[in-house]
Amino acid sequence: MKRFELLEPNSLDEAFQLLSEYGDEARVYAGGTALVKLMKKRLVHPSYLVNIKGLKGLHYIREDEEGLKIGALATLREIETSPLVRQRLKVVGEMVHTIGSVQIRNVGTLAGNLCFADPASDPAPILIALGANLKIASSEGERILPVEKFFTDFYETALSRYEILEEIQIPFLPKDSGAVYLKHTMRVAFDLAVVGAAVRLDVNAKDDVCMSSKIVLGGVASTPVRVKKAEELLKGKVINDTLITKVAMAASTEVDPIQDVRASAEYRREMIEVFVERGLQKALERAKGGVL
Amino acid sequence: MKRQLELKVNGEDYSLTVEPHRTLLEMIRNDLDLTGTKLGCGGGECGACTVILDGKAVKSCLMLALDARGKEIWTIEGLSRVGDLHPLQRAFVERGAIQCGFCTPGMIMASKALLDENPHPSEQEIKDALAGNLCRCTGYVKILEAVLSMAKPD
Repeated sequence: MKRFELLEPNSLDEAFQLLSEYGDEARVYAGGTALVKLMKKRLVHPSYLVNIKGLKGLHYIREDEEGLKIGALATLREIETSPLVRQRLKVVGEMVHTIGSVQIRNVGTLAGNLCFADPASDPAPILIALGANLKIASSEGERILPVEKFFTDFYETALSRYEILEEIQIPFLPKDSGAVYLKHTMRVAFDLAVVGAAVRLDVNAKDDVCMSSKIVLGGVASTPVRVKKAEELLKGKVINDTLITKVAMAASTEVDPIQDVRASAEYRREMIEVFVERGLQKALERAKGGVL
Repeated sequence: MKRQLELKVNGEDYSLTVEPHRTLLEMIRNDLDLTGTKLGCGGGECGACTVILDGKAVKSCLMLALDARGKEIWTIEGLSRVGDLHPLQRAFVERGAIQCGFCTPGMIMASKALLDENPHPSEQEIKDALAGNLCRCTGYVKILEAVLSMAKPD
């Protein structure tokens, strides 16, 4: 690793000040599991790290009437094992369990995972499907941005060098809604998604009619992708096996999958179909069974 | 610029100075001379560098030494007592859960963190806890058996 200066603000305001001062030469350091790795490979070599690990008031997982609020310093492991998350939005805990290994989850944060913006990020698709927002702060004030608008390209986000992702806000699922995240990997454990499929269905419990849906894919493009044409096929229709098959096929033709070391584009396309189909089945089951 | 670092390792207090770009693993191996903790991939994938930091298993190759300020760390050297192996170490020896031995300190520290938190883990819980540790001699079955033997029945 190249040498750098470790800057240690005592408050968010001090952190913003340091970021304004050092701009492109500085990086925010929280969990660091992704950043340290990139620095060791010399893909990133900041002259300054702004260490926010010690900042008070960013380390929490709590709820209000609308949903879960997760602070920038909450570790992935804390989210995975949080009784609150398990009771109120089980799908989030399930998704986090698939990230990295216990050692990584003990240190890495959800906010850091989003800011790193790996196209195969696991949280991104399901957070988009759940309609989550990000509270982004800077010396200029705060702004709220939907997760759906956060990712701009491979490892690029809408966050400027002067901003800090302060909080992730995840709305609770209404009654008669179901969501699931399915991850297809080459190894069972500790691998990145070849395809990550997040499906969220809002149904009318009486007749299984789909009121609205979100299908979001990770690992297949430079950013997470919503397959809106496939979603459109579900709207106002009774969800049954025939429709599910049709929607899954539509989803697989709606994207132009990337090809990389983990899989070919053709293979990804096939797997999108398989995992969207399974995701729709599971999400429907959950919507009807009242699983959060 | 070197910075002051105070921490507890294997029950002993240490005070030293390190540069910010040094990883926790480099500090443990080079400054403290505790070479039981291994450098494998250096990228957080193999788990050979696993140590226990404030009760949690972490990969010391992906953390800065300065992240350990004021913390308590346990490494493989802290387990045995005056020549007596820790029961978990003995279980690894007795079950043949060691071949070349390179992954062993990481495997044992990851297992110890699990057992400290959850004394009765299921087979699946052990697999989850060790998912981030690679063994290239392919001794996973015996490693699993060794940890299971320590998982006391309820």
